[in-house]
Amino acid sequence: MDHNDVLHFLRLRTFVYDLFRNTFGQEPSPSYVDTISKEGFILKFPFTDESELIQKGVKQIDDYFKQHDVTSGEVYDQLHWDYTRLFIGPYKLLAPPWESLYLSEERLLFQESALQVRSAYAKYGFRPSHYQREPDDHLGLELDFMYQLAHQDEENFNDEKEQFIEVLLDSRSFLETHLLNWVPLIAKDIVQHAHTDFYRGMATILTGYIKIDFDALNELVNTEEAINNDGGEFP
Amino acid sequence: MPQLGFYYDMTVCSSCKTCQIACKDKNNLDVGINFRKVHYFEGGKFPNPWAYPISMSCNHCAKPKCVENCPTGAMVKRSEDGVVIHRKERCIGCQMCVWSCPYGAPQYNKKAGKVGKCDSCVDLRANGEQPACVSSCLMRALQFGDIEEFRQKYGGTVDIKGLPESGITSPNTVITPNQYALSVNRRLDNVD
Amino acid sequence: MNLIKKAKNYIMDRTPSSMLPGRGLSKTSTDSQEIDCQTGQWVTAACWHNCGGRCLNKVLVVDGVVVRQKTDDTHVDSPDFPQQRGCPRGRSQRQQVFGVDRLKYPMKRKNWEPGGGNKELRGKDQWVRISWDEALAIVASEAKRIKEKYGNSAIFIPSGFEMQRVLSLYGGYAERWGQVSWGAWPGVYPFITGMKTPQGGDTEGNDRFRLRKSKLIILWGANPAVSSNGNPAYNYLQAKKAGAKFIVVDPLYTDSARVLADQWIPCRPCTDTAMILGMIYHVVINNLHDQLFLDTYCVGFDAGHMPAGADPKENFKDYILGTYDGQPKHPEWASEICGVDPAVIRNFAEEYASSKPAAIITGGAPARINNGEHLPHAMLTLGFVTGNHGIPGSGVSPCMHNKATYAGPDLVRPGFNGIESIANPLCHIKINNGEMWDAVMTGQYIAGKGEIRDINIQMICHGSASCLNQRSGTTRGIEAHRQVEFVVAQNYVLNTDAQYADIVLPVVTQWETEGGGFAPGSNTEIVIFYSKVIEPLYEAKPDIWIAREIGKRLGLDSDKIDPIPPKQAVFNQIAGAQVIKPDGSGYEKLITITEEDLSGLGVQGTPQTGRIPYKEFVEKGIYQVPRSPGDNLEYTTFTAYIEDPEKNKLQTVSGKFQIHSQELSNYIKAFGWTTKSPIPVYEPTREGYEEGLKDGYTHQLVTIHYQRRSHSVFDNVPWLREMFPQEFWINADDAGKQGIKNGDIVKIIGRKGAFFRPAYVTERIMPGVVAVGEGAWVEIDEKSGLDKAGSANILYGPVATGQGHTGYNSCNVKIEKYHGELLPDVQWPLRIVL
Repeated sequence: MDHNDVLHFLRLRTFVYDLFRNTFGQEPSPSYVDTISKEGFILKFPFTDESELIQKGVKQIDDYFKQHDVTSGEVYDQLHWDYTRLFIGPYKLLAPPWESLYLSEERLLFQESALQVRSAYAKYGFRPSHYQREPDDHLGLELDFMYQLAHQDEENFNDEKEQFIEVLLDSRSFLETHLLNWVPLIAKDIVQHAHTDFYRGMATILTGYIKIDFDALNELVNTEEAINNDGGEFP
Repeated sequence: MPQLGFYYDMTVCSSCKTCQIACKDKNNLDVGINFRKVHYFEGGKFPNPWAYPISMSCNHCAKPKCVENCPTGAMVKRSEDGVVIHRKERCIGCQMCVWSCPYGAPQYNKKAGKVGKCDSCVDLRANGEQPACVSSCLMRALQFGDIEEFRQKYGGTVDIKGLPESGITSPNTVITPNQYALSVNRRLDNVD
Repeated sequence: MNLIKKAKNYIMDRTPSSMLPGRGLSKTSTDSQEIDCQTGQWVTAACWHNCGGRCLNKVLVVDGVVVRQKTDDTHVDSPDFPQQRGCPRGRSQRQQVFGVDRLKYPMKRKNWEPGGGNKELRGKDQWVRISWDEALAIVASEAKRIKEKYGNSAIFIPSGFEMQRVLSLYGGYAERWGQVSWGAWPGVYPFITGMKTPQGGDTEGNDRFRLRKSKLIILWGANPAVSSNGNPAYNYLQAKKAGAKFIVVDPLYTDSARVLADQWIPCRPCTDTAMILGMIYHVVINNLHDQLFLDTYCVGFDAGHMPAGADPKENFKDYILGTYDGQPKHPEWASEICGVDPAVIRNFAEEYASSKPAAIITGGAPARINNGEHLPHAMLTLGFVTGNHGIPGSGVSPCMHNKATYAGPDLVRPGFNGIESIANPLCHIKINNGEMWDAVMTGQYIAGKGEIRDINIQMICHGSASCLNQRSGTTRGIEAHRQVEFVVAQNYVLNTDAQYADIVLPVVTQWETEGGGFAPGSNTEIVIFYSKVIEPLYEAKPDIWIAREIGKRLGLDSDKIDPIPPKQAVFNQIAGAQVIKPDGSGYEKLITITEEDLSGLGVQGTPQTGRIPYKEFVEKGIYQVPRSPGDNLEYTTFTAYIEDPEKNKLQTVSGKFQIHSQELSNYIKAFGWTTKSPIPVYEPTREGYEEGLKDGYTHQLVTIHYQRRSHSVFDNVPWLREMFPQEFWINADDAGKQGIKNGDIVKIIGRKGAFFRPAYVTERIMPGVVAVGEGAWVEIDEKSGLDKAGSANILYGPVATGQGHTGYNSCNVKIEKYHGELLPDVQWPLRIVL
């Protein structure tokens, strides 16, 4: 594997998870809407060729911005409102964004999965801002965590190889143990209940991307292992 | 080493189901999965109805069909106490044990894709505690210990109306029955 | 796939935004550490429910997450010194406290405006999340507006403890009153026995060791195995093992009957008095009664022993014999009414008369009937006639709930928290349970005989008791809630009260209470002290904080409303906690407190010596009085009176047991609803057996306590829904006549409303009687307009009779097969609002 290719890939991941944490972790801000609605922004989302879901979601979002007048405040209002009604309120939450709700039939908050996730964050010295008052397994927090790890890996790749591998393994494990299990479920709710194609599209992209990311991380892990075993480069 | 098992006194059991919930709490079981269950049987005719409960988890049988038929060796009968345990890491979710057990002890968890079962709370017992169901029982109807001692002390039976015939798997459980619960062959008032 | 290589084809722009403070993850200053998920801390968690138990519940907390529960293991268990084990409800509290349906934020009904907005949508409207500031401002401004427009009497606070404090400083509020749990007992017991007890004799009878001396224990409409979880059924078992025979009188063959009873006598609801009179007739004409006891200790039995000023013709014996009304109350007469075979009545009477000591212990159920004062009167008299009072192991009492098998004074009790109550300037405005919803609709209520008063209720504040669901007349109650201008509810989950409100305020549970506290009244031998388990969830607040904040906005002195910080209030209770001395001669301090304890807590107080050190008490979470058979703490009521009736006169007018009580008769008459004879006379109950026969309401409904819930609490918990399906009991023959099979959905029609439920077809209930568990949360099915949860109070009421108690077991119903779908309760979606 080419060193620069890997670095590029790592940087992409950082950008992607940064986008995701901003999308699902808080209501959209004016500057967020400005950026995301710029012509061509979403079309640059990676792996559209490799993932049908990503391609579909990207198109949805692109069409959405083409059909709505971005210069008027209307788009911002619409998006802000859609996020609020899906994830915060008023009304019954249509896509309550906590992992334990989707994965436990008991529908309890603050159960073992919150502890597991908290433990994962704590290993890297992170804590949710509303520690102990709100559950740790909020979608935005989990994506923020993926962002933090991606960012670390990007920085560690050149100099801190051991650290890099550990974070890589933890990223993969977090996807496998958490996000891959429940994102498809909440995505289904978002697609069903969202009023804007924007959030439908983002949910679809997210579902597609975490799958791709998992495969890519596997590739990278296998390669790194091979390098460590062989000391040579792999095509 | 002595075979361990449950003693259950049906005559004092109030069928409150605390044992069932204590077990669910201890094992983090969702709705639909019960390692211990309280069944209720009734009959007769007003004003002479009869009824009896049966609280049952796993009988840690002498001839456990679940162990016999498990393809991966996930089901194992321990030599040190005769308790049948289930090792999650080996389970492939084929459900052979579910189909083999005449008492319905193994429970399939669709989400995990694996089976689960009463293990007599081996972790609590290692700590000197009783299984959760035993220590929770409001009427003190449950005990866990040396099954031979229970047989000596209480007599009892496992041939209860509503349960499979005990010769199939030789369950290591002792039940003090209500007279209506005795299966047809052994009803005391049927002696000719 | 070679994704790494393919990544080359993509170049992304960066998102410039970053996570706002308060969102996302932040770096902690502490060293990153692994959370050890294997260890944690066991904390005593409150089990605070109105179930009759309030047992010891502990939870394992790992870094603020509760991973599992356990019950009492603080000492080795034995029949004499039993552990205080929790029941299925207590064991599922994890699901209750952490249910995703916890109310997280203050909410406003979407179609509400000052004045009510679209009031018809209460109960089915959508919800809008609002801030605490906005919510508190609305409550304060509505209280102000309604006070100014209609006066303080327009503000009705049927339950809770905190809003009352606010309104009492703001001009007052209309109160609610009326006995629910103990039926007609409280209004009768003091007149007959002279004893003033909290609830009409509930603390009286025998403690669990004295019960082991009983030869015969009659559980009359009492089902401790279900209705008094904790130790009572186990304590009764010890009495059985000691040789007591058990007879259970109940329309249902309950699990208490199954485990304990040597004989089950099914008797129609509302007709127990008839059976009692039939028994007394048999006893008297066969000279099995205790004439000496009657002559020495009672007045009113016969013409020669009447109270001063009473008409001699009003003696009880002549009533029994039918001397003046021409109807002897023989077992045949009784049998027609109560449905019990005359031979059974005779045997029962003989058995009771010849067993000494024999104890009759009743639940509230037989007396929870309309105009039911005759029941306690007759039951006590049955004991007088046979001399079964005052001997260890004998007696007649409604010793139930947390007192069942624990008669006597509290042997250990917490101290006073120091918070004085605030007098309500409008305390003379009291509306009875049986009238309140009608009062909202008609503008009138009865304040005593002949006195009808006007009232215009426009604001309802709901606190901790679930009044709309749990008082009879829910159908009328829903109408009333859609009539008033403003409804506010404080709760931790969207129960019925909250569902029909305009503003809902999320409160913390006792697991989130700062400083912990004492469990509110367990059995007489224990006090339980719980600790705080977790931080308040989301934006939930304590009830008292809400009161304080509303008080502020009304210009009141908040320190009067909330005068003592929670830690100090709890400490006062700890410091003042008392335990009985081993010789029973008095009380002494329970807890030892040192200077170190005081400074560690940061509270005001003085060091003291007690039985158990403070830290040990808090860690253990319980103090249980050591007891053994024959210790100085055994208790039986009236032993002193029986020993020396001259020296230890009763506090009645005559100084004796009053089989005839003119005072009782006057007392009931003064309420203004129904009347009562001075002696125990059988009166057909409103909506009792006789009324149902007249107009085609073929069945009598009893509303039993149900293991899924503690009254209405826990109804939403999935594990409990799985185990207890809220079935509708119907006799197998009755069901057969209507083609109803087990599991069929049936529609139950009362005089005021209807619901549908799965049928439980069984031989365990009398023909003509049906049963359902009380406390299910009303769930109106849109299509049919019927309740589909089986909420008993939808069917009947509100009705006020006698002393203003509620006749939950006076209800006539019809049954039909229901041709519609009903999912099992466990599959219903949770009420997740936000």
